[in-house]
Amino acid sequence: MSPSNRTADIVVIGAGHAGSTLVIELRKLGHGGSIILIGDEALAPYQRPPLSKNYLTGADTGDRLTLLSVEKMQDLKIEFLAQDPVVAIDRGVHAVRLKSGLQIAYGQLALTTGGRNRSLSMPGDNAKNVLSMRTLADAERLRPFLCPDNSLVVIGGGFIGLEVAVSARKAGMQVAILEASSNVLSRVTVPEVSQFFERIHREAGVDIRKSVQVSRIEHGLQRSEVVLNDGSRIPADCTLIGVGMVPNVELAHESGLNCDNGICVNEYARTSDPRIVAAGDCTNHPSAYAGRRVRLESVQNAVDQSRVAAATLLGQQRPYCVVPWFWSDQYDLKFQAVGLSTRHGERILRGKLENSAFSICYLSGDRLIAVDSVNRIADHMQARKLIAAQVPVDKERLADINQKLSDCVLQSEQ
Amino acid sequence: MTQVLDAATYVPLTYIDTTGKSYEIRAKAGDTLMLTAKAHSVHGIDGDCGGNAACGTCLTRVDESIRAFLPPSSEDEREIIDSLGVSTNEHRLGCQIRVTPDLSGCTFHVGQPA
Repeated sequence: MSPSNRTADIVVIGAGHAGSTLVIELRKLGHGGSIILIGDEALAPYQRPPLSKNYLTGADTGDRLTLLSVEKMQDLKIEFLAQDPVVAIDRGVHAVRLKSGLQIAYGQLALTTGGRNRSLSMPGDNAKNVLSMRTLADAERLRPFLCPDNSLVVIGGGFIGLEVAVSARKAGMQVAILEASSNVLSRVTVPEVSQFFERIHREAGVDIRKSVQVSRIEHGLQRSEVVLNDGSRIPADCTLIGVGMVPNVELAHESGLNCDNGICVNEYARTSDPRIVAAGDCTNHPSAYAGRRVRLESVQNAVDQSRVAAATLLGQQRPYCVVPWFWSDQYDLKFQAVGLSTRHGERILRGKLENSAFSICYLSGDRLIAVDSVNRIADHMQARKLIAAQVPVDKERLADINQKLSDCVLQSEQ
Repeated sequence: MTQVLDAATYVPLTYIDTTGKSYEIRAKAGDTLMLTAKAHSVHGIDGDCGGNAACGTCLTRVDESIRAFLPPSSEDEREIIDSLGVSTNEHRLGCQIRVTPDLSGCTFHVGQPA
């Protein structure tokens, strides 16, 4: 017997930050038609950022993570299908097929499929104490290892790796971070910020090893060890692999949508099929601030782009032009990044790195294009406005931490 | 042995959004003003960062009579509010305030003024 077919005006694939924001926005914008939200996890949409931080250390409980509860979905008349991933999109007949066999015909479709952790292929990486961190289930698997004197090896010095290292140190674990390149956070910031975070982690007792290659993970009867290419061995009651994510584009790609490091969308979050939008970590989109197409992995991008996608589905033209921003909490430090720094020329330091309160201002010509800051919330908030306004800035004032960033606009000579 | 179920305490609150629309809400004690607003689809409270005092999308104006019942704001919170261009005396971030029975019957003006 073939499963019954269903229809919905709008079907949303993926129930993370992007998918949940998108369905809420559809109702806020007055969409009265049917909505089906499909997730492959068991839980209603929840927040991911606390998983590596307060949730791991136990300071946050599961119910505080909820983004969109089952009750609220009932109120909003959003049908939520959990643990039944979509296996195919048939754009010819405008339908998706789920693992259970259920077919759902859509009027329009939204892809908020996010990403998954990049895996490292090496001997010993499929043991129960070799973990990654993206979902609540990942955090649940890692949490029992957070005991005093247990050892954790983090492979990959990115934000997830560093945040988990903080939680592990707070729990009293011995922690080593192994980074293949010459700096931690090398993909996302400049060497002076990387070196700042390395110092902070070293002072907290983390063993950071850079420019190292991991060869394998060996599991003995008593304990496991991570073995490096140079033969050195590091005890690892638990190994966390945090080497980035890959966007979930397979459904889109197999259905013939344009994909190139993400699902290609325009500034309205529309894919190459006019009935289909996409938003969040899985998209490759044009960015006015980068001057090129980008794929961004952040809550901000997921939330703001999915609002654009919802408007597009309802026939409204609302281009996506929010200045990208990001945050990471480590120990008592609040790191915040705003803008895209990749094509910067000059950069100017405000404050002192050794004081753990500074901002690095990235300039393109005389325009501010990005700011990375630590414990400088005012700089971060004011930079959002200055970057969006694309006005020339006064570099001398910018370098003076006693001047408000918002007062650094270059006054035009009249 | 009898197991005592810990019943949640609910506190009546009023939210007023920037369009003047009023929301009468029974808020769960312990939840933040931001989460409560989101759970009831209050216009103008987005809470994009999930309550980390990182985004400034849960701005709440608080009447003077209520302020004494609230924990003091942190410097981070005041800096975010200041950068939104409003008074740090009259405003708070909804994500930094937990609902307590003391707040019963209080009114919060939410959202960023135009």
